[in-house]
Amino acid sequence: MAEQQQRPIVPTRGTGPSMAFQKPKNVGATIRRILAYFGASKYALIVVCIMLIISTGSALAGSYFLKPLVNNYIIPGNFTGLAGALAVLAGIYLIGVVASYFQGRIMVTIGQKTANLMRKNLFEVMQDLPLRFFDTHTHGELMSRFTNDIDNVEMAIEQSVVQLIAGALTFVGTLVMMLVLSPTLFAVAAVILAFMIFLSINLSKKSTGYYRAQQKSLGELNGYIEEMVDGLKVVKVFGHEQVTSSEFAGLNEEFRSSAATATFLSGVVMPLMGNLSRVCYATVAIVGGVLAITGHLDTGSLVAFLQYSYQVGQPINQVTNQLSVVLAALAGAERIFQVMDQQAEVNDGAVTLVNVTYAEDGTEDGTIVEAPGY
Amino acid sequence: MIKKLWSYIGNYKLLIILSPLCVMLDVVCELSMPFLMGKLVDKGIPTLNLQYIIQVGILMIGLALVAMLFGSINHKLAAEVSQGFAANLRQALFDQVQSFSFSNIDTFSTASLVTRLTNDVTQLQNTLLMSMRLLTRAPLMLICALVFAIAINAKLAIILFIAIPVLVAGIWLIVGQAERFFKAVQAKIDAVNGTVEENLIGIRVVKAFVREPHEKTKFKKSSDELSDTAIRAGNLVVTIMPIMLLVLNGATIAVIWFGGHMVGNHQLGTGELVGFISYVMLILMSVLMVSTILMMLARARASAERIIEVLDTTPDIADKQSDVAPRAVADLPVNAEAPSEELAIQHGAIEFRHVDFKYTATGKGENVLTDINLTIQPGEFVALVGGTGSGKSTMVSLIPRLYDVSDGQVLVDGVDVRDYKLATLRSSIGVVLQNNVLFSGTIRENLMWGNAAATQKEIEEAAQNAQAHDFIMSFPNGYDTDLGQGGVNVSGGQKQRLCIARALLKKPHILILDDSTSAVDSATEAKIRASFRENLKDTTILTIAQRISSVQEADKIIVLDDGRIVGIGTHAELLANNPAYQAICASQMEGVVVNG
Repeated sequence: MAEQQQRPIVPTRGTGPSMAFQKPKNVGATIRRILAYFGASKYALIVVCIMLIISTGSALAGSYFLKPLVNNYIIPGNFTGLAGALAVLAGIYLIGVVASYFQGRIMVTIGQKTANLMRKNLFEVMQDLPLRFFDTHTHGELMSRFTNDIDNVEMAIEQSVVQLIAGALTFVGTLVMMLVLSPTLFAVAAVILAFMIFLSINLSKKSTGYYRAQQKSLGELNGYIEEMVDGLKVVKVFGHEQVTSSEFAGLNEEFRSSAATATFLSGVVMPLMGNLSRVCYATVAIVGGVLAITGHLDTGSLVAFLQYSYQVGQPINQVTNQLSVVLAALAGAERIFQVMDQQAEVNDGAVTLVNVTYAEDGTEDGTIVEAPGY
Repeated sequence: MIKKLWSYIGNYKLLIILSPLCVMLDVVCELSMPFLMGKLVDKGIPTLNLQYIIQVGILMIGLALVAMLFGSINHKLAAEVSQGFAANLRQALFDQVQSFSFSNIDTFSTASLVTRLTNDVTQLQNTLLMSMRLLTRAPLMLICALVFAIAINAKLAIILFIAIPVLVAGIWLIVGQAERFFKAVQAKIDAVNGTVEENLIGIRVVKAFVREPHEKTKFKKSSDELSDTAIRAGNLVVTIMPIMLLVLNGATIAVIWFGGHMVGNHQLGTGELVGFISYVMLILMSVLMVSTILMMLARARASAERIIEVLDTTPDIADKQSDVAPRAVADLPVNAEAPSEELAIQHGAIEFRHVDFKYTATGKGENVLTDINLTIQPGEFVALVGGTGSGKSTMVSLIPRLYDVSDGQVLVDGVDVRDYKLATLRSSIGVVLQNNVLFSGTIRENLMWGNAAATQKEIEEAAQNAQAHDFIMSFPNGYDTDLGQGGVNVSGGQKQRLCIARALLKKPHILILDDSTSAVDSATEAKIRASFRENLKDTTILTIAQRISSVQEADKIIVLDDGRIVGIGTHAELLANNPAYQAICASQMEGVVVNG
């Protein structure tokens, strides 16, 4: 169910966040630097946080409301009371919808404006860099600062950060609600939840290792593609097609096998967490049923508790998924800042060439000799 | 399009068919949970039937485990199939690109070929992965949840039949609007990327003419436009979630209201009511999921088209018969059966007969070469001179069939080059291209491109002839020096000499040097020429050079102007009576005078 918050796909310039998995080196400093680009929008973040709390709270309250609805109105058959309670629920829902709309809007604006500012700044800095810099970096490398890296930062600001916080809030909120509804059932659920968190951490550790392996062989594969397509004419002139083809096949297979494992590991979290939630749901149903029969629990609390446990694994997935997107974005931002931190060309006066010859060897260390004077 | 791509699923076809089965089992098990929970609460609790509660509960746990199993299997299938498909596709593309002729390469440009091999393949891999995870899942979930909802209470399900169309209409409206914005966003993205690329390529010009402020303003404008359009598109997209919530919450309230009355009338249990609410959520979520998938598929289309474009391109230079014979996916033209098995180049005589040439890649256009007639004897040292765009490079590239003539014939040893096996032809001709490339690896590995079986002695001999041996030996690791990607660890002049050595290792009958000593200093160049005279007596050498000093001693100098031969002769002959050659010499002498 982790897909539920997925935003419809928007045009992206690069390969998307899934392609880049590099650990950012200095998270704190990078975040502070990105925040500097927020400018006045920084204060809008506070509004977003409030909206986030409201919308998450509204969603959580909806399930909790089932308890009074069932216990106080539906089971006793008090329909005037039900109408009133539903009106209140409708109000809560509506506030949640409005909050989620504005929070989305604000983040789009902040994300795009920040990305725009970074992009313009990067371009300006780049224009002032000495030629040496352009000679030692490939065009593709520099282009991907403008495409992939900026894109990742933008996407992370626009959705991942919000989803990360929302996921964490939902998880904590769910736990609190469960605890309030029935401490005994919470204890039951907590055992399974603890196992889920343990599993999730272990799986993501494992898949990080495989992901690194995948990225490494992807780098080799793409490097080979770039080199051989660039040198395609030479390949043809030397009739080297079969050699390169079989070399490529080797790299391709290496990547395929590591990518298949990494993809599986990162994907299998979904059915595992989702269905462990269902196991939790069923266990709660049994224990809750027993408690209800023995009169330790009312029906309203039980059904509300069940509603929470049905999807309890979802925020765990959401947080782990978005965390890797955010980390990729931070790594991208670090690469952008790295370019920005390059020493600009110093323009401190005119240069005059007088009677200079130099070795035509084309060697970089070609000796510069002064021509014999007049 | 799908049919075309389907063939690259290859031996994963069985797995891809198993996937929907797994999904179906997974979905049915998963979705039966709220239904069973309703039964448990409504039948077990009021009757205090402990055994029933435990039975149903254990059944639910069992179903969850089954769903987990099949869900995981499907994720495994999706990972294996999508990555396997991508690998097959990548290999096919790579092999296809390898079989491209020079004009095919020019049509696509190398940058675009790289993108197709990397980004576009990844895009399709992701799409297949997501499709296998969700494409069957979302509709199945929708149907299954509807069935369970109706099973709980058909009357209450009427609410769903109102909510679903409302949500679909809402999404439809937004997506329709957003699509237009997305196109605009894409255009702005292209504009921004275009400006960056342009500046990276032309950074020297930008700096030389102090155009930085102008470029900055230009970039600022296109970047701002992108940002504005993206915000407008984004604002539309963010309305989808609130609309979804609105419909979901509205439906939930309606279900509680009407369902509450039913509970009062004992037509519905409390547990069933809550179970029903779960189905409302699942159903509306799957509607959203379907729309997401459809949009994703629409996006993947562009990548698929770009990939198929490459796969559908027929290499326009191939061995004669392979044009007709259908080629297997991973087959290269060099594998194709030779038209004339034993035809080999023995001497290296070259003849151009009424050759016309135009680049088909760049459209109709004008002739680049017109009515070229020329005979070159085996072992001759021939130089081509002429201004930029006079057709020198084009002319020599017709010999190893880097391009094919538009009209007329090029013959080597009296046989039309198109009648040789491509592999045979090219193995007998050494070409040092103008924009030459070395590959990552050691110097030795690079040189051995010329001859994979070369001995150290042969390698050193070739390097000596190209005046490369001395500087190679000056490196601490000698021939085992690592060149780095694209040969970045050596200078321009050293790179050119390595490229010459690499071509010499082929021991070609014909050697073509296309401006391949431009970064080599004159003294070293003279040494190279001298060693060629000494050691490559039987090799026909065609050289293109800018400096008159490089061509003076040629047996024959060909003067080209605007695609026509305007003079053939020795340096002395041409200097005496060829105005075009005289002009070239005069311009270079002038330079010397100024420099001196």
